[in-house]
Amino acid sequence: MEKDAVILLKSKVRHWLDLLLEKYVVCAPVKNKADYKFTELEPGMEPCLSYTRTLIPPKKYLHPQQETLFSYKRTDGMEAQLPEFEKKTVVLGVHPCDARAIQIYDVVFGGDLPDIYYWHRRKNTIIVAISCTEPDENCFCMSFSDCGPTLDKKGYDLLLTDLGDRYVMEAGSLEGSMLIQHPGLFDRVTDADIQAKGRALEIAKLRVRSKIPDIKGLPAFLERHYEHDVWAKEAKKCVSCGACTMTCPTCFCYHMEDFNRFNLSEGERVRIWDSCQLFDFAEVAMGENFRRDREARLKWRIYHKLAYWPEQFGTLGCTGCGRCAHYCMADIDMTRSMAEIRGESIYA
Amino acid sequence: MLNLYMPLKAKIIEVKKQTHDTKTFTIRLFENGSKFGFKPGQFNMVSLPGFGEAPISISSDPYNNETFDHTIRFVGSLTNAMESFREGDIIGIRGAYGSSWPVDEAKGKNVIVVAGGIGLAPIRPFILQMFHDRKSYGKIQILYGARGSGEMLFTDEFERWGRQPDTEVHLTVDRVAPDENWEHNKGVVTVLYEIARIDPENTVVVICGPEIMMRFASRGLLKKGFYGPQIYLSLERRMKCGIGKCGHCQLGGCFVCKHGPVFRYDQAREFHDTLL
Repeated sequence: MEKDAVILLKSKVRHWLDLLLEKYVVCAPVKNKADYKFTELEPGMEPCLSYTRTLIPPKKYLHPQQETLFSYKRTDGMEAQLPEFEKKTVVLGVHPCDARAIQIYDVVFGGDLPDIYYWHRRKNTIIVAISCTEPDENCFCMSFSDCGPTLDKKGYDLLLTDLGDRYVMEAGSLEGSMLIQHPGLFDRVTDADIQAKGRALEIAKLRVRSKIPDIKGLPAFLERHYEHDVWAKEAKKCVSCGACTMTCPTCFCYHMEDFNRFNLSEGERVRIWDSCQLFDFAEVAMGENFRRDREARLKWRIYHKLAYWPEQFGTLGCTGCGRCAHYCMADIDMTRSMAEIRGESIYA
Repeated sequence: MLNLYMPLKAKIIEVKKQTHDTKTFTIRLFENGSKFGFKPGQFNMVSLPGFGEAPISISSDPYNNETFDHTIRFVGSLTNAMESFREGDIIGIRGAYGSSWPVDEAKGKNVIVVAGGIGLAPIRPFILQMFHDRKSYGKIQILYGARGSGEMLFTDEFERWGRQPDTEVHLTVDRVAPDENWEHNKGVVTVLYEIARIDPENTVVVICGPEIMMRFASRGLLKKGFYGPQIYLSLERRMKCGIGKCGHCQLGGCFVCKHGPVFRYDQAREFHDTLL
């Protein structure tokens, strides 16, 4: 293995974290009631790197749920102040599905009209990914050819893989290799470690049992079945709560609003996550609403991710993280809808 | 990297009443010498600190890059606030955004303009553009419909438009008040297809109005032998950012704010969630 790979024994993780905390803001999943939550680590706080999924993906560090764009005075106009960061942020323990979603975000917030607020945070963020060895019944990352429980060279600064009593750590960038430069803390990677990593990933792959088949043919397939009964059936269950979109690592939509202070002459323009599942998302002046029906909104989410995204951004719009199904209170699962259309079992 | 969310300060230099609920605001960017260029059919995000932003089409002559107009109907929270804005008031502007009418594609061809109500505002820059460059276009037929004569915009210009070489202006209203002296046509805008005797040969059509009106206007054209690729229309969708980021205006793989608002009819017909 390349020299930018090391072994860190789990008994030394605490020491490594303490070293990181001296130089960086470190955010990692921690146990939060029945779930996991990416949280900024305080000294002594223990991350949980062996987890299924967090409710909210790490996208919140790049595109916060609520963000001030600028403040204004009604008399003097507007002034933007980007947040100042004293330290870089290390987002630690990012699953491959969420790391891929960040690569997708880079395209969405990039392009010919780049979003300065996103890139300001993105350039200040170091992604420490971890191969996923605990996929559950909602995960379907193996549907996508360049997805699955680990990452290949792209999309991370440092990649961890859990080998039982140790992590193998592989740098994907100069920034990542800086995190594994502490003499005495790390061990050399052996052939046995490489084999162990291969085995761990093979097992993880087998545990990802849910699948959407034939991703390449999906846009045409979905277009053919736009009027399929399954959509009306699922829409009847849907309560339009928007959980699928809030928890989705590739959903990016936001609403913009002016928040006035009490003096009414000053305020801030903020953006807040929005959801295409909410009634007024596509409503225009005079009350015309182009997705008035729940079925239209439900279909829009799924079609946008799976049918339109490749044409729109040149990437997939879904990484198979399984959150939309896992957190749906109405038990709507697009892998199952797709299987229903095909008349197949989802366990391909 | 530019902050694309930061509006430029602009000053209202003239306000003109169009109808009981619509005014045209003539605007100049605040800094002296600040030029503003746009293509017919494009829009700006108009910003009122405290009220937010709204996408508003530009309704003025594209040959004028000193000032520009927004013709605004007071129907939403921001536009209702606009109603009280006067000469000298400051607003914010981001733009110009979006695609434009087929200014070049229509050269050498006849042009039919089909507008409904406030929909004349986004097409007016194209009409004025053609008048500046009159020799480049064939016959121009402007078909304009509104609910009532009191809802019509730019009424003081129709006579001048009609006097341009090889140009016709046809008007219709849905309703005529009993005591009203209305000498034009009555009925929805498609009744003007018969009156104007429209011909698909070597012709481009541009349509703007409520989406349901554009549905009947374009389907009426197809019945007259027009083909989808001859027809262009401007779609209205909810927009927060204007730069293809906030996601509200998406249709299929398009952002209406970036790839639209002007689409070719045959392409727009491919989208779900339209009334076309």
